Amino acid sequence: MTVDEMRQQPWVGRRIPRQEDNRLVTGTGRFADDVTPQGALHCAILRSPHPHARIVRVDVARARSMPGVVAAVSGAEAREHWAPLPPNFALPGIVAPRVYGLAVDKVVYEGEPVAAVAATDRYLAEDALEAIEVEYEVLEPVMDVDEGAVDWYGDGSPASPASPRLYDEWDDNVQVRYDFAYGDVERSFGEADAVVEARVAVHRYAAVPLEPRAVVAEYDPDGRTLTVRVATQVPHQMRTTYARIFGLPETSVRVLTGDVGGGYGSKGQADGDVVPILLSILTGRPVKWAETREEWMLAGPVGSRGYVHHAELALRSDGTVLALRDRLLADVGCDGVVRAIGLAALIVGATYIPGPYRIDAYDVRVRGLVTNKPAYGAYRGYGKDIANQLIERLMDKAAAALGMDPLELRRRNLLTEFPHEICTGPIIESGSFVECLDLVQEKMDLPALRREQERARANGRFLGVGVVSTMEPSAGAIPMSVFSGFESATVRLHPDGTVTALTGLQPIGQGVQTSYAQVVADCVGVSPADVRVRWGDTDAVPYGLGAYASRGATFGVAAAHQAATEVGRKLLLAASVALEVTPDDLELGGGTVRAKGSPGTAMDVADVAQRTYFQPGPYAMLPGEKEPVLEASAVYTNPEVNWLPDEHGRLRIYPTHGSGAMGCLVEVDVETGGVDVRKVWYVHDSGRLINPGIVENQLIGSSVQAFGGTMFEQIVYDDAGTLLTRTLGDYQLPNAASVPDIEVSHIETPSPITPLGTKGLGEGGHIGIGAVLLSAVEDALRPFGAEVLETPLTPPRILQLIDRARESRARESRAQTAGAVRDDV
Amino acid sequence: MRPASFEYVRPPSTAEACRALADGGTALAGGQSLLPLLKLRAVRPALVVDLNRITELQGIGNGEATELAIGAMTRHQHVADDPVVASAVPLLAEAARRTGDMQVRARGTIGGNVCFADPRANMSTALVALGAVAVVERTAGSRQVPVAEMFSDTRVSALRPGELLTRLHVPLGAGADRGVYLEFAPQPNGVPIVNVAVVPGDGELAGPRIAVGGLLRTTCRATQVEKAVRLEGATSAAIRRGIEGLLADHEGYADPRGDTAYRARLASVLIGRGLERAARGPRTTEREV
Amino acid sequence: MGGLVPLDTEVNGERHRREVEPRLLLVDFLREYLRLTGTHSGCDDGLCGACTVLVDGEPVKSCLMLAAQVDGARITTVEGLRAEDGPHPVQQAFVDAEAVQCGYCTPGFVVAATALLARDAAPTDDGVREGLVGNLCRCGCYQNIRKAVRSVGGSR
Ligand SMILES: Cc1cc2nc3c(=O)[nH]c(=O)nc-3n(C[C@H](O)[C@H](O)[C@H](O)COP(=O)(O)OP(=O)(O)OC[C@H]3O[C@@H](n4cnc5c(N)ncnc54)[C@H](O)[C@@H]3O)c2cc1C
Ligand code: FES
Ligand code: FES
Repeated sequence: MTVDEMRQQPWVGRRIPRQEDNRLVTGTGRFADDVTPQGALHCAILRSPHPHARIVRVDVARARSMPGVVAAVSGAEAREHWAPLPPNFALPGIVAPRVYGLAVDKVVYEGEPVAAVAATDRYLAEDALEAIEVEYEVLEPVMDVDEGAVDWYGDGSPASPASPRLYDEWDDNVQVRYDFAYGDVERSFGEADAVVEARVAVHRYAAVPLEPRAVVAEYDPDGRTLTVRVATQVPHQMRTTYARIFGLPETSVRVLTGDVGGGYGSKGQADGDVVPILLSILTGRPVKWAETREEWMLAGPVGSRGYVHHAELALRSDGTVLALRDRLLADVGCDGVVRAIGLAALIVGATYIPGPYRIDAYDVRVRGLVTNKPAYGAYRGYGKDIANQLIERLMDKAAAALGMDPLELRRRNLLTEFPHEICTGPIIESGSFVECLDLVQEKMDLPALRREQERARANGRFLGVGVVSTMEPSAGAIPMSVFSGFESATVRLHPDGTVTALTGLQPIGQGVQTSYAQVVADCVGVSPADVRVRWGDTDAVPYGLGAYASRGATFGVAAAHQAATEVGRKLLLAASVALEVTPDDLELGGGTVRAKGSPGTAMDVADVAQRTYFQPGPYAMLPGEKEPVLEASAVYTNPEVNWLPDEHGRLRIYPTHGSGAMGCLVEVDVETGGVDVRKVWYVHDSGRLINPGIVENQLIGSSVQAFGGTMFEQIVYDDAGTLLTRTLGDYQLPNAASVPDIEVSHIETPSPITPLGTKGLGEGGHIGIGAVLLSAVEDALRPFGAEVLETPLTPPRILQLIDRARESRARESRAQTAGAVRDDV
Repeated sequence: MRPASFEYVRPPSTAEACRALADGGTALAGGQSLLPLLKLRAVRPALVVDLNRITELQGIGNGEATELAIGAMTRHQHVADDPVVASAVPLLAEAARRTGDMQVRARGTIGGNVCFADPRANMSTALVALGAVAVVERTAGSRQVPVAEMFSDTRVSALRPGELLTRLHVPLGAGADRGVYLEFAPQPNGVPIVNVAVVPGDGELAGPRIAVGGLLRTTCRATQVEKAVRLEGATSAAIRRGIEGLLADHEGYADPRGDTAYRARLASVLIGRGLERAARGPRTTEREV
Repeated sequence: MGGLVPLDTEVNGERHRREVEPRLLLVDFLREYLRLTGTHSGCDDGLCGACTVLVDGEPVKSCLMLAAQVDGARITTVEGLRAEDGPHPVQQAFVDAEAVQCGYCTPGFVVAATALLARDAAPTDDGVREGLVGNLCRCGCYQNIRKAVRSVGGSR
């Protein structure tokens, strides 16, 4: 290819270096905590040492007189100055507690904020916390949900009869109840040749972004305006939320974000972040809060996962799945709606448990119970992992029960025709599930792995192989919530030929700046280097919804594309006037507009722009155009989203769906219980790729996170409700030495329902890894006959699984011998 | 997570450091364990005595052929890289090499590792198996304490107020050059769940010397295991019996990474592997145990 | 309350003389006093490495050091690695190898990788894995970070 031809190639689809990286590698990025306004105060928050207690008295008087302290406030005092935290969604079946940024009369988790100070430096602020006196009346904490005592059928038996209630105004401790049924489940189970059952349980682990929460609040008492720089995924919703909490018009509130140090779902709500804002309002000075890691572990949106399925799958002897039944129970910490946003993940999970398989009879019930733990946050996967974990384990179990090859069983049931409406309502618009499975099998060289496994077993070593299918619903649009379903963009081609693209989406590591520049560049014929993407200033960019639910490549990109396409259209129109060639005979690229087939007839984009603005100007260059400037704004909504319940009560909140398959190889040390994850293969199809390098990082990154979550990350409380995992050392994030190589392969089946054929992505690895690791470890332990249905796969658990399997074998063989003896008699 | 106020001194000599400690100061060595506690305000010294300018506390010497003297302020990385350590007591180099990470090794010191008295400390376990002796000084004089007796409880050392650990004397010979250090951690960094060090016996009569970390509330010499192995041979049954003996006499350690029962199993496995490696010959430095 | 102690240190080639509280952490000195905000804080506990800087050439977690302790020392932060005419080779390698996502961990990795390469100019893949366990990347860029570091070191 000549340089010139290279320049004509579309930018979409190319692996170009990221624009954001130069500042990030040189330490010149701007994260919220990097900014300290003149005269800023530092906020420190006093937190409850008890998981469940009534607040009898808080006295901040002594703190107020400490050196450097400008303000100190208790929850009771703060109450006059703000409204309760608003619920982030209001779906039927969900209840929301009424809580404030600082607890007023009761605390429901260890680490709940009860008072705060603002001082001239951080050290003095922490000194002052020690001078605050709080008297608590300690209550018995609820630290677990009792699987045996759940009211599944609404017959009135309380959810957990013995446990005290967290919220006095609630009838019980159930925060979400969700039931759904479709098809004749009873009959299908009656007709089945085989029924397999499983209890699949996943422990609590969390997003733990490396950048903790950070807020810089600046209230201007004269103008009654509030500027908040904050590490968030959703700047516009934060503006709306802050305005509500502090009784300010939205026009007076400006939210700024710069670089955000990872979110993964965890930075999507206002919780403790409102405390420094209050202190800024009370003092009229800028107030900064950069939380410590311990604060995040204690009081961030730390809940996530912490669920158990009790499920049954009915099949015909040929492997056809007939029906599925599940009871999904989750420990949602103190709240998953107001202080955090994880609760709806359970409903998403229930919606997608049938996954990429044809299942026409399905019955699911979901209960989320509150406990005295921190809030239930959103975390990458957001329920799709909950779904995959169950259906894939059931598939393996069913294959074993029917004596079928587990991949064959999957192929028999995978969706192959699209679009396909699954029984819970979503339409799988396109896909390549079987192709992904075939390709992963090929990449792994499964027969060779099986031979290696044989040889290893002969030497007393235990290798295991797992393979699963994955479905990655993306671009969630949740009704009655701040996670609504549109995105906005403005694209402006300047007179000098450079382009500004404003997006409501928020970069959090997913390469928005570069990939959006690629999309826009193609539409207006320039290079991505000429496109400057701007975000995260609610005064500068149109109202958009930010980063959640892998919506960027669906909503964000489509809005930018729509606006840029319109600019491109006007650009061609103007060029057609200048070049006297009809627009249809013109093409854009490499910074020029050319007549097709006659490269001599061409103009620089900058030239056209200059003429359109000024020389001679819009009346001559774009006569008759309603908006004769090279700028356009767009709002994108996806036609497949449906918020009107159909006759089965079904909605469609995720419009796009990626396909995938994952394989892995593990080795288990059956003496220590250690598991070495040696390699992961991931075949992924999320439609057309904008920048393969960025996509691969998302796929690998999400896999690495769920690898950590499944293997060793854990949040643990003792019986009294005290957090035991308070540092990253206790928690264990995956590191360079433990993380396996992940080999990614792509299939590109365009989505028919997005303008570029793209689909959202970014959670895929997190969806499949849990199930594939469980499957592989179970395979490694097959000589012992151990079932692996529970996380984390820590060494002690592995040994316990082996022990249990040995015991039950021993019991069986004793029973057999006993039986044999009886037979003899 | 910011320390409470304290006074700070940076004495240039052991003698002055001892005086400052006698005034109620708290020693600051590499800070890799003390700083987190200061930040949590779990430790609130009035006076911090920074040992980092005392050159006499740094470095490794073997003036005497029978022992190696390691200054308390010698960094983990230095121990890991030192050629004399590598040939005379390779297990100590391995223990150092596997302590935390590059940054922690650049600051953390062997003395701090012992004084912090964490039951899972790498250097402590290696030093106990090697039969090392700590030299402890105070304004009024000095005493020598076997490292195995340096620990009173989890994170409580046997140092008395005002005492400074200045040197560690590691005896050479007696199989020290054939010793093995093994550990098992949730991931290859940070603190192990259990670690063991095995120094094979020298000659027919002397059995191996074995130390275990992460099993009991302190790092310990596994004398019961040594005895069982001497009498019955290095069978897994003998090792397990020895471990049970240890646990019968002492309280076990437990945390969310493993209860005492798991630690006992892990210790048995690692000791078995350690004995096997030590018997097989020196210089096995496999990453995975 | 502790009295102030004098601090005379060279940071990225520039000399700074201050009086500081003994309890002031090096990371706060760099970020809040000198406004060198490339050094990040991710854990406060010495576990994530985001705060890694070079003190007299040695990689150190600046959240586990007092500012007073760098009196007389030479410090290099991520900002100081950058040459006049562009990024440091390690910085460029991170860009080229697609080793960055959110970028919060990146400065710490870049500084640690520089120190690692100073110890071993051509580390093996395992050498890089072990050499960088003191730095955590929650976005999970390890695979490409290893590639970046080895591309500077020249593969072996
Ligand atoms: C991320 C991380 C990972 C780690 N991983 C490991 C690991 O895998 N294995 C392991 O063993 N350790 C590990 N550590 C701990 C590390 O080895 C520490 O260096 C060591 O425990 C303490 O040594 P220090 O020199 O830093 O001592 P400091 O933290 O300065 O001091 C520790 C304690 O000992 C006292 N003290 C120190 N020196 C003396 C002395 N000479 N005389 C009297 N008292 C003294 C201090 O007053 C203090 O109470 C890790 C630490 C970190 C931060
Ligand atoms: S902030 Fe220093 S290591 Fe994490
Ligand atoms: S790039 Fe986000 S933490 Fe490393």
